[in-house]
Amino acid sequence: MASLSEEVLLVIKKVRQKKQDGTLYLMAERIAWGPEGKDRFTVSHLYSDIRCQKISPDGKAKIQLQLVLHAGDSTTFHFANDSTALKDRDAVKELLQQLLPKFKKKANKELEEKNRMLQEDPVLFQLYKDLVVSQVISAEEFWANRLGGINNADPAPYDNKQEVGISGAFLADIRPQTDGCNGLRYNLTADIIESIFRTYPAVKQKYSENVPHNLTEKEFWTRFFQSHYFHRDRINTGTQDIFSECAKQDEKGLKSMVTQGVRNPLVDLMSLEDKTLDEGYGISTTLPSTSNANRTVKESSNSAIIKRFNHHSAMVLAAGSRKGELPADQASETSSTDGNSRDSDFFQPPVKKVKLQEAIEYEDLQRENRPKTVALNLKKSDRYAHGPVPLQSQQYTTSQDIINSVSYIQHEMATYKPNLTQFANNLILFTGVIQRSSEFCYCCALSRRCPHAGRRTASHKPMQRSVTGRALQLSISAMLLSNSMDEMAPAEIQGELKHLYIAAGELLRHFWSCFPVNTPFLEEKVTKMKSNLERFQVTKLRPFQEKLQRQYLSVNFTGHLEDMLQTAYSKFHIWQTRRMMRKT
Amino acid sequence: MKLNIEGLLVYFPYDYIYPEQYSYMLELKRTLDAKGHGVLEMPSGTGKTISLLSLIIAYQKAFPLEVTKLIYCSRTVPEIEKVVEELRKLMEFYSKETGEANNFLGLALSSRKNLCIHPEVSSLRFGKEVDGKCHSLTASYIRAQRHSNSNVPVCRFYEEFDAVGRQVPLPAGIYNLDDLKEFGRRKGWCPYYLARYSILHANIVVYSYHYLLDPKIADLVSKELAKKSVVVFDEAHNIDNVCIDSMSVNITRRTLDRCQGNVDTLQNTIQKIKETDAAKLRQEYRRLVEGLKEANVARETDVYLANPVLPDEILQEAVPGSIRTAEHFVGFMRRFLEYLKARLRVQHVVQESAPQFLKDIFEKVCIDRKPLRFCAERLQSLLRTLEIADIADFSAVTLISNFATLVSTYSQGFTIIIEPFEDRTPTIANPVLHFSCMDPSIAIKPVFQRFQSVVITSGTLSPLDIYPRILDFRPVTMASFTMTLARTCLCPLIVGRGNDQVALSSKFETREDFAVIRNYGNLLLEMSAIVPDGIVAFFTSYVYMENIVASWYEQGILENIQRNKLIFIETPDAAETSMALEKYQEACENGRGAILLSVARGKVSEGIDFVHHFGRAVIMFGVPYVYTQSRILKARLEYLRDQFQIRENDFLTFDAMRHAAQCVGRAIRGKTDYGLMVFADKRYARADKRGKLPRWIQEHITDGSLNLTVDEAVQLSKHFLRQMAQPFRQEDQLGLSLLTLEQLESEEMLQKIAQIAHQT
Repeated sequence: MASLSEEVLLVIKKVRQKKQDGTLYLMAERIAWGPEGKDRFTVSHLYSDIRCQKISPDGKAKIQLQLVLHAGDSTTFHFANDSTALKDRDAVKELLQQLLPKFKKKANKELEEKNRMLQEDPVLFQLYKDLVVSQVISAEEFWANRLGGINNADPAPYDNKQEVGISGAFLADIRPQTDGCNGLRYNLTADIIESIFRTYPAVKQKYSENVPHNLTEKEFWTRFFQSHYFHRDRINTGTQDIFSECAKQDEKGLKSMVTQGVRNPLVDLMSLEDKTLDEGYGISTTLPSTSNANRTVKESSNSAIIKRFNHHSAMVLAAGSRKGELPADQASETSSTDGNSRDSDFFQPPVKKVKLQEAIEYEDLQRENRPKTVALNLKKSDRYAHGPVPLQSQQYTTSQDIINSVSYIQHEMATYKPNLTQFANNLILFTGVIQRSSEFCYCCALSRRCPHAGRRTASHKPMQRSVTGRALQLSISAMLLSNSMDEMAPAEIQGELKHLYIAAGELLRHFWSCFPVNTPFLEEKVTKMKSNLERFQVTKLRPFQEKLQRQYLSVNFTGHLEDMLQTAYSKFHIWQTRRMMRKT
Repeated sequence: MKLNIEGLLVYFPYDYIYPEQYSYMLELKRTLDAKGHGVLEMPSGTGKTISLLSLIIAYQKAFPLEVTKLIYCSRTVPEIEKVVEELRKLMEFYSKETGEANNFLGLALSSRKNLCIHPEVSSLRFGKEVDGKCHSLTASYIRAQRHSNSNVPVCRFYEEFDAVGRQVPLPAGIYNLDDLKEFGRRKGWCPYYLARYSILHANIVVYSYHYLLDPKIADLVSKELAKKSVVVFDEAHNIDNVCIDSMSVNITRRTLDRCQGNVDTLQNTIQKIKETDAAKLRQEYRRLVEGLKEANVARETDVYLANPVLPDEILQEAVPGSIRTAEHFVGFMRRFLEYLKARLRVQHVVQESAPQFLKDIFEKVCIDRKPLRFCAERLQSLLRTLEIADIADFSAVTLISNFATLVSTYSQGFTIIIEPFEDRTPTIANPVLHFSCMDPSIAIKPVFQRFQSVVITSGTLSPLDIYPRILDFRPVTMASFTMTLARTCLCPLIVGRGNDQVALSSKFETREDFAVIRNYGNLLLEMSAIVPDGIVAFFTSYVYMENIVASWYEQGILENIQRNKLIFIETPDAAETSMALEKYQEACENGRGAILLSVARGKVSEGIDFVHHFGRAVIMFGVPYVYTQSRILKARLEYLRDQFQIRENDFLTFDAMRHAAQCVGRAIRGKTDYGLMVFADKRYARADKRGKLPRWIQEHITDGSLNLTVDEAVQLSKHFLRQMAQPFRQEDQLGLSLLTLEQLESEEMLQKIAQIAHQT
């Protein structure tokens, strides 16, 4: 294990682990410990596996350092060199402090991402429980093409996710507490630092300018909290304060925000008044003189607070929506670079028009003009359930049938006349279908994915189409099934069925995504997936069916599921026979 | 829908109607029938504007000889534009229903700043600059100079308009400000002058109050409007202040210095002209001998709107000999100026009436009353003769001459107060001469006299009877309408005590009291935790707000509030406040929620609506009394007491309550809207205060919500908000607060509607 190519950053001798003396090595990517006199490491942790380090408080007899791993277990090192123990420990601590964050991000990203996905998506979580925890498939398989999607394929949907904003009161959260001996304690967390940086880019800049070279992190923040900048009611910013520049920058930012003006003309107080009185007319024009000279210190500090609050709120708001704002900013930039207000006239009207229209609208005085909805009127629901099924079911290899039936449906729909008298009766039915269909859309979409995967090879097309048609038809029948289910099955069964569907969908998705099978890896995978499916049928579906049989004899809820599985099996068989044929 | 309002066919561009709209139209029709004036109060958000427009236009169509024009005055530019958009909607409905093309001309008029399309001029930021620059390009003698010297810059849009624009009237249609600009660009005509010219033959004119009430502008713009017009003052709750403002003058030492400069310039110009073009001055002299006969003839034949600065008597006389020649006049102005300077050198406050002032000026510098009265006219004539390019530069001397005319014309209704320093800074000399108007009826009198129907309307005009008294007119109809509601969508709460039972009040004695400030903070904090989206809080004055914000900051209350919502605060700077407002709306829009701290009587409280989620609660901290220590106010109160028998306290309370009502009314902008109205001052519970709130707010104040503690208010609010958050559909309103045509025509409903109008 101790490959010599590894760069050793720090070696500390006389470090005990589990009451054994040894040597601690800090290397570029891992930390390792080996017992004395042996040339192998009994403890070795990659930095990326380490969640955090803990140290024993000062003054304790044992000087220890504990590493807590992501997995949950921890390793404790005891620095036993009497004279330099503390120094050793601190050296390790410092180094780790610098190293860990670097690795943390890289390693945790994936784990966090997975964690986050599971937390955010209860359906996915359920699926994970159904498939991975019950060991139908392995975790890697489960994540295989999920994370792939995240990492490279289409980051768009995840980028669209709203960024978490900043709490308006993040500065309040660091309210100092007196520590009892004439000092103040500020609680600063990574979150708060992040918030400060995002809200006040000027501080961030100061930080990056000063921190590694001139000041330590602690010093920086101490100064920050001591600065006039942090205490908004103090106005006389000293020159030696490194944050006085930030205050100036803020001032500038505020000014530029103000001069940029507002986009909504209805809130523009500048152009509110149509005709101001000329100077010298009017009774209330003699404002208390605005010159700063005779304002008392208190008054100007008060107005400084007000300004700061406005600025702070604006910055917090901007930090929360910075990404979304960009295009708008650019638009306003183009208008402002054009300079005179005449040009900006051309930009204004749309916003103005819209705002004016909004302002004069009385929505309750108008008739609601939502498009009227028409209910579905089903005479023979079973016919609808099976859809355009060719008479000789199974194994159709031409797409002609499908095309025919589709065109037949189109014809039917074109000549269809809704029977409005039965509107009300069917409405109930219809809404049931709608509700269900949203749930099953998921399955439907999953099973529809298979043709996408195989789009590259033309030879597969007819078959894929048939698959699509089949999938469509299946999902429709599923909808119908679910509709009837509402009345017959208790919620618990329904829920269970739903989970089964989702799990099956997931497995099928994996299965279908293997087609076309053109690499050995895919071949292997498809076989595995098939066995996964079979396992699913045995371990999950069967028990459910048995359970159903015990309670309900009449309705076959799982028919559709089995259909789907059958389709997959037959596909697999076709593929296998072809492969055999090719081989021979 | 088509309505039958006592025999008049009214097109109403909606499928449904609020009962109070119908009732409002009834009252309005009666006012027009009687050719009299009316005062109508109807809550905002009940479609006041569209009711007004629908009825008056129907009336105009039915009786084209009785009512020839609608002059709709509103307060702010967005308001004006909104009215025009509603008008457009109505006209579109007309042409859709009747199938005829619209033959009405309706347009908005605004200042040059909002209408100019000249590339250089319109890029200027301030209205005054735009006006000045425009004048320097379009004045008649500048254009005359251009004939001889083609290098003189002129405005091509104005030239084009002057050449062809007047011959063809603006085609029928509805023109908003942007439409006018667009039209102007297309034709190459100046939209401002086009609009000013077109209002003479337009059927509907929408513009700001000032165009009728400020004599300086009214004389230019609205002088020739037809007598058979209906004038509507919308959002008129502050109309008395607009009137007073337009007639009051403040003279500082700086004004006098600038005036001195103006007079010197005049002197030099006269010298120059005398050498080159003496004939011009002689011609002017002759014209002045003729007197102001032209104007007199016009006024007698009732073509012009009277100008209160130009009283009737002087029209019959020639300009007095002592100021007829240019030099004499300039000398006269110098003397007057020196006198004013001397007066400003006082060490103590002086208050006197106009006759006292005239007596003093006669004794000190032998200036008679008569020439003083002609000052304004004489100066205008001189400026025209001297071909002064930039009138804006001469604003100081114009101000002084206007003052001279006003002070010598009105012996009553004005007061002169000379203050050598500000009350707050007694060590710094800053003398100001306030010539303040105390009688709003002076400015509005010509309007009432000239036009056959004047309608004063707003969401908050209570108590109704005070307006006819202070504006001195006899209305034929006075009515206050309530808002019929299917659900009680407003929830007025009077919070009189903190949780610790400390009485909450903004009155002077407890202003600095930390207990009150803390409890106010507590109220805001608790509200911020339960109210969704936007909260607007109003303070009684800016200084008060500053102090409270500072001590809230020190006590850490603001930080706690920040946990719930972002905080934005109004500042004295309009641009900064605009930004804060926009950010506030953004924060409400994206769901974060925000609080806007603002000031009653400020720009926000007067001009910005907080519809729906932009204002789910309004908190009024304290009673927004005007600053009562001001001498001007004291003089006005005295005047009101002596002339109109209005007690000081009554007026002050009335004034405070109308502003409070304005503030809290900002949150409710319709029946689908909802909002809390929190009055945080125990004084609101008293009958004399409560009774002055508009009826539509008053009737929802129950005895149970009179003197709440913060906790109680929070409980009630929670309940209210939870109820309001339920879906509210059209069907819920129908038949109660929303009517179809059939429902409207039923006998039972008509009876109900009759009760809505609250006759006074």
